[in-house]
Amino acid sequence: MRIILLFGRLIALPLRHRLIAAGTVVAVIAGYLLWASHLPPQEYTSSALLFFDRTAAPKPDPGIVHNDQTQAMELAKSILSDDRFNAICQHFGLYPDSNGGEAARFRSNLTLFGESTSSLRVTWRGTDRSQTVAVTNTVAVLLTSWVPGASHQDSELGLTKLAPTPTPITSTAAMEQKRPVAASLTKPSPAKARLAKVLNAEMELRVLLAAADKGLAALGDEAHRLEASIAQANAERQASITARQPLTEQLATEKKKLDLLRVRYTDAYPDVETAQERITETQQRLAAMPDVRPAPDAEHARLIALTKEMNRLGAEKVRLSGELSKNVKLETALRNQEVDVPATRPEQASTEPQREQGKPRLSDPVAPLALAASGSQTVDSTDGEQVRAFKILERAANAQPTNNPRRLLPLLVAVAGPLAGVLYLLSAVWWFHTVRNAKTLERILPENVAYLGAIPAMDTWRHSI
Amino acid sequence: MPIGDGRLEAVDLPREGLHSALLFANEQSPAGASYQGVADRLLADGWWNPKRIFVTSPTVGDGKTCTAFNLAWALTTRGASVLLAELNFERPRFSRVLGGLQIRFGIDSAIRRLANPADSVFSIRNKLLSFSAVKNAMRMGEVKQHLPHLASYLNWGGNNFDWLILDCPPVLSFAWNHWFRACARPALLVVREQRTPAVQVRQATSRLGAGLKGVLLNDVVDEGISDRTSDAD
Repeated sequence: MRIILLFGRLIALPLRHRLIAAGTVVAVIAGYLLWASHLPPQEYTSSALLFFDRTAAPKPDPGIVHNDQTQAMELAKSILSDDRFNAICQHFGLYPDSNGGEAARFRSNLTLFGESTSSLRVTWRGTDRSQTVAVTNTVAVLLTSWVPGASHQDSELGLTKLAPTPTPITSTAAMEQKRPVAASLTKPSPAKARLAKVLNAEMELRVLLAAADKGLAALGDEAHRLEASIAQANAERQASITARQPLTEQLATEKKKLDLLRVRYTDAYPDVETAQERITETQQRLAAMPDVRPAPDAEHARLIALTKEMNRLGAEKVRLSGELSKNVKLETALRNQEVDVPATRPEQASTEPQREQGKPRLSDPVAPLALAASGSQTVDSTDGEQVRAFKILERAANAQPTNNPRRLLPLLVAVAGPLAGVLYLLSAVWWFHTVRNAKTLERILPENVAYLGAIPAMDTWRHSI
Repeated sequence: MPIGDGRLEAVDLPREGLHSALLFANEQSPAGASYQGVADRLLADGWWNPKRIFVTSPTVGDGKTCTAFNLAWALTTRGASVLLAELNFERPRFSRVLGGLQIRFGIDSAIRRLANPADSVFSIRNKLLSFSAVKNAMRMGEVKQHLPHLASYLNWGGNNFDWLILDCPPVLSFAWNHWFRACARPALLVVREQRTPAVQVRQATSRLGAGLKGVLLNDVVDEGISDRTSDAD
């Protein structure tokens, strides 16, 4: 009942007070807009996650102490030189009012953070949402394009081709084109997690394969050495046997002849004595010859064991190679799956064949970085023959607005404006709680004031005089 | 030097030119009877010395002008001569409610000393009832400047008429300036039922203080309550 009464009083409020309430709402919103126009521009941050391969990174200087996480950061900092920052700034048209200080300003907006021993997060802060994403991806691609031992190959990174076309991505179409990808990549997808697992497994397999290779090589060397030794020993033994064979045969013949003589003659018989002397002489000659070396049985056994171990390692290597091949295929499939997300859009589907035919991947040796950065959603890190220290695990897909009062104020104003209007109306209702009858009037009046009477209402004078 | 001949001017204003609400006190209607009753109570009490009634209200639109007119009509029916003067110099309304009456001199001319007080007074058929309207609206600064001369005008009115009914600006407006606070007494406060905020009535009574003698409830819809209150007196 009271609500109905209150509503009735609200309706009965004079028009000027309702206009004042509406004006209050408008004034609050206008004040906010005026204030917001003087705020610093809204900033956005975007980040990309890179996989860091320590085995592919150059060895740190012995004099510098690195922990596992700073190694990736230090390497990234060494890769990202001022020249490259200047090229990026020139390409995207960043900081046009900075006279030579573009690189410093760019560096101040760039954050490198080693999240783990094998990952590096690249974060960049800018004032344009889509441009921030593009710049972040460009920095990520710069890092992934770096090859150990070729750190000064700027031409490979395509930096020289950046300058002439300052075309920052600010169009609505570009933003619309990126939005689905951004939505899909905002949260780490299962495919990405799986890709990370596959990459880790791939690295482990490579390490195991390398260890198997190394073991095989060592075993092969030892087996080769053993075989050579056995062969040499056999040759020497055979030579000795060959050298002793005539005397041995002669001795056997003489012993046979002596036996025949002893059947017919006694030992005192001269022919028997002569035969015995010849036998003794032959035996002396045999004794004078070098002994025959025994056969190298231990080496043979070792060689057999080595052969077995090599066979086992060979089988293991075949298995590892098979698994590695599977992982590489799986990684390719996952990356294709990730890249194919924007390709499902019809307008982008038309550009996809063009990219496959004409547009090289950023990992290609002469890939223009500008194209790669602008179309960073479809850019992949290199996975060719060269070993790369960084790989992109998660591209920058969306730029989040930084903590700016502009974010909360619209909500605040949306609440505060109408609230101010309602409060004004309520206060007006209270203020305009009118004299309802003579009884209420008499309650209000001081005692020394006389109530002179009431004049009945007449429609003829209502709201006229 | 004032101009004019100093004689009262009689205006033959057709009855159709007057706003109908100003003539209730002359008719046989509930409103007319109520005004007659109010006039009786005014005459019964001995508040009015000198016989001036400053009619005011908390805000605009409460019926000050209508009340002042009808009270003046009611008093004239008792044989008293009445001067109804308009003191709302910034927002004058007499000329409009009198059907766009063109006058030669107004009360503003008199307090500016441009005319004699009698030159600003005219009557409409009823010779007992005279009017003094504002001819040209005055700015606040002008009002402050010339209001001190109003005392002599009121003295002149007191000498020439039995009653002075003074239609004043609202109490809670800027027009209720220092002069009104000091001189506007005794005062009659007009409150409009279902329209005048109670808090403003409190403020008005507080501002008027001891100068406030009576309150009139205007535009009453529930006649039962009004009759009960009226009958109680």
